[in-house]
Amino acid sequence: MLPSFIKRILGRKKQTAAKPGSFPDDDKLSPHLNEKMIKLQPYVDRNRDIKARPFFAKGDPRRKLTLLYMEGRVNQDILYEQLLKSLMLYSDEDLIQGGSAEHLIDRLYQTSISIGQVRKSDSFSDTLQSLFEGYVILLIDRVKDVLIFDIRGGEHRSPEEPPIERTLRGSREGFVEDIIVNIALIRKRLSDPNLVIEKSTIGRRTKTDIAILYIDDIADPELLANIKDKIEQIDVDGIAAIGYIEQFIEDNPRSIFPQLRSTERPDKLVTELLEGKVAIVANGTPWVLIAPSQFINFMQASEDYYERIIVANFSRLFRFFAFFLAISLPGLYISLLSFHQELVPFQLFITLAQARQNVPFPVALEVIIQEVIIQLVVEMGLRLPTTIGQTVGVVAGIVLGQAAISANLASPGIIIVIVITTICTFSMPNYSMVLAVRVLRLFMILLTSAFGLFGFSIGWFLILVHLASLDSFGVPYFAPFAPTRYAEIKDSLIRAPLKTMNKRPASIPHQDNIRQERIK
Amino acid sequence: MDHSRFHITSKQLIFIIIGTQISAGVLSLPRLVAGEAAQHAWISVLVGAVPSFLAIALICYLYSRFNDPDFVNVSKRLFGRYLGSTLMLVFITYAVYFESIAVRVFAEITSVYMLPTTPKWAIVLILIIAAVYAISLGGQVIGRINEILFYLILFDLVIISIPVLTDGEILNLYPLTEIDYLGVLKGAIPTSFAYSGVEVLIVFYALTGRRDEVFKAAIIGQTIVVVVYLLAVLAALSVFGIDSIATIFWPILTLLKVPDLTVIERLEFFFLVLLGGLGVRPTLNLGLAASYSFLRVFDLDFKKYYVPVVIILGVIMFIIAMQPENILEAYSRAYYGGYAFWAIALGYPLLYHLASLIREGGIKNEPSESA
Repeated sequence: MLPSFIKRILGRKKQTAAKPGSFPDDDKLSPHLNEKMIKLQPYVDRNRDIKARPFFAKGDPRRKLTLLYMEGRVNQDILYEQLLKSLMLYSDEDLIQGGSAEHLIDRLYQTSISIGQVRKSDSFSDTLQSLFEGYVILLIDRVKDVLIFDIRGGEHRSPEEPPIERTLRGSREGFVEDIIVNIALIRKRLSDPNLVIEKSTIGRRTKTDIAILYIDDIADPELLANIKDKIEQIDVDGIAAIGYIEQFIEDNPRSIFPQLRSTERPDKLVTELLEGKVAIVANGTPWVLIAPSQFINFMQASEDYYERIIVANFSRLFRFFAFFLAISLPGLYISLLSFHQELVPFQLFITLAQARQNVPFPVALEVIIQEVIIQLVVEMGLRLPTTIGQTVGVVAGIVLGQAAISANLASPGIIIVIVITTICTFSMPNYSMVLAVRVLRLFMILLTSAFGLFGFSIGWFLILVHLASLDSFGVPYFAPFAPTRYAEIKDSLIRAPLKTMNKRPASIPHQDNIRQERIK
Repeated sequence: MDHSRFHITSKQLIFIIIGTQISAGVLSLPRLVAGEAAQHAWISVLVGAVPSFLAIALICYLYSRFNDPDFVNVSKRLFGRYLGSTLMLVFITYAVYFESIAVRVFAEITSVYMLPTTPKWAIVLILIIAAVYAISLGGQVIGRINEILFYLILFDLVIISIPVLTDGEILNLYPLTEIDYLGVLKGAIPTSFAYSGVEVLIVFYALTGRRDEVFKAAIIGQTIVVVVYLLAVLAALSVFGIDSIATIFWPILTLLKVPDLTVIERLEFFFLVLLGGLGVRPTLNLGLAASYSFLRVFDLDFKKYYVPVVIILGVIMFIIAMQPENILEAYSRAYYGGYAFWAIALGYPLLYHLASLIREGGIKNEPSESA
């Protein structure tokens, strides 16, 4: 008993990731249609969405063909009109009859099939993989090669207004789940022949299509090689969304700050590509990753560039202020009321103190209770359907807040502080940053509960040190603040007039430095 | 921790020179100087800077004669392995000891002004944790954080100038003549202690990317420190005058209590918010210099040993910082630190110059040992 147990423990080997798709050893396809079908049968039979459609070319029983495709993944109109119909009815009889069988495939390809994306394959694994990726396979009797068509279509959402990154004056088109549509949306706005789109797949089992986009004569080759290298190193069985890629390739996965910005706006992406950045598009996610990204990118909204300079800067400064308040306000409230009452103007202090004289908790605990409640309300709002979420939000927010004050469990001051903080949190233009801010606020609350303003000061010091320590693909994350880059100050806390931004940002490595000629 | 994460730019060196010097010292400086030099304290501030400028010149001249101007290489080359290592260990001990005392002094100020009921050890501990975290991230991060904290000083200067505008009295700086030369010289001694910190150049010289710019950067940094001290002393003098300034322990902090502003009411608030960064900064720079030198002296692998060494450094700092019984003892130890600063900032470069003179000529352009 015991020896076998020990043996079992010792014998337990490190598990290696199973290679998916255990294909037969013989990767070659037989020329005979029946044999090809028999080889494919085990995979086709157990998947009811795979359809096999046998037919004769031009009604000639000597020319047996079979189309294999995945229901719902292909564009059925093209399948019926351009493939089945043209092969069954319109193919040239003489061409099909004459010549050897080996050349039949080329003759069909050249004369009877009016589809752009076609390739030939003689590999069984390639054929099977292509079938499951949504390609259409044409098997021909007495020919060992197969033809693989790309007429993938099926159902997808059409571009709509992006739900998260809204603008008043920008484009109303947002990315969708389909990679081809997304690339087309980018191409539509950036018709530079130097825009390079490199495609590959990620996920040993999911085989998710991804594309790397960059402008060849702007993007830095070293940066590009670094990004590609990191993507190539991803060896996972599957990814569900682009967030997986983000976590695999970012430099500091344990940091709280998002280091790769994602956008759902093609217009925003184009401006980023023009700065020498690289975009990563993945099938199935309506968000596109931008590498490298810096802290200030998470504070920039499209509106900043679409509106005139004074109003744009006004709102950007408010955004930075909101970032500061969202992290600090509850902490400041605790510090001033619990530790440094002498720093609060006298009348204000009297008002605040009177309002909370019946509250049985210390200020810090009061803040923590309210903060936990609001975090839960926000989390609930995200999960519930919009209509119910709004109702429950109102109940939780207004009713609960009012009841807490009436029951002397919270003071009106703390409710105001928490509400302002929540408003500030959600005025960040990027949701990843919103999540980071929510956690940082708790960190600040804990530090100020123990050390007052001194804790506040140390807390911000630690946040700044952490920000200064981050890099995104070799680019300092907190530039142009630390390290300071004076040339880039013109697009940081405030934005200079577009006319004066003649050069591309120096922090992002790039080739062609001149964005525009000097305008007088 | 990769060795390449220690390179700093010459611009960052400017801010490191500034950051190591301007800390808690500036808060009490006007009292110490005005006590000796009366209304001519500002001249003492200028005279007191002479040793620092001299130290910069000596250090830069010394290193410019070597191909691999690294503290460790140069020490070993000039003094041999054992004596060279001993000299470096003395430097490391100095850096660790006085950064710990700086933490303690700063903790005392925090305790008096912000957290009278919080135990000292807790304040010291949180300061050291913050410093250890920053140092453990390497020289590049220290360079960057010094850059951003520098702008806080500019903000501080703006705050300090407000009481001058509301309550300043130019008569307090008069008469300009009738200079008490002895008093000015006496005042220059505590001022020169307030400039301690410039000795980090001994280590940071080798970390700077462009060696040809080091001298310029250090001089610029030192000049900015002189200007900041000058403005601080003039501000405190103009508001309090020489008679009352002698009775105020930290004139700069008291200065902020003076103006009566509507809405804001208390200017100290802004100053206190920035205080953390101001207090930790010299510890960061000295701590980095100490841990970097320690690893280089014993030729330890940076990837493996850097972070553990920094953590051990933090523990030692905590023990030293808790040694003084009270604020006065902490200040008296800091005062000895001033003399030690002279010994290190001026004594080391002079000693090294002397050694290189004795070994005459055989030093320059030798192939480096470790580079």
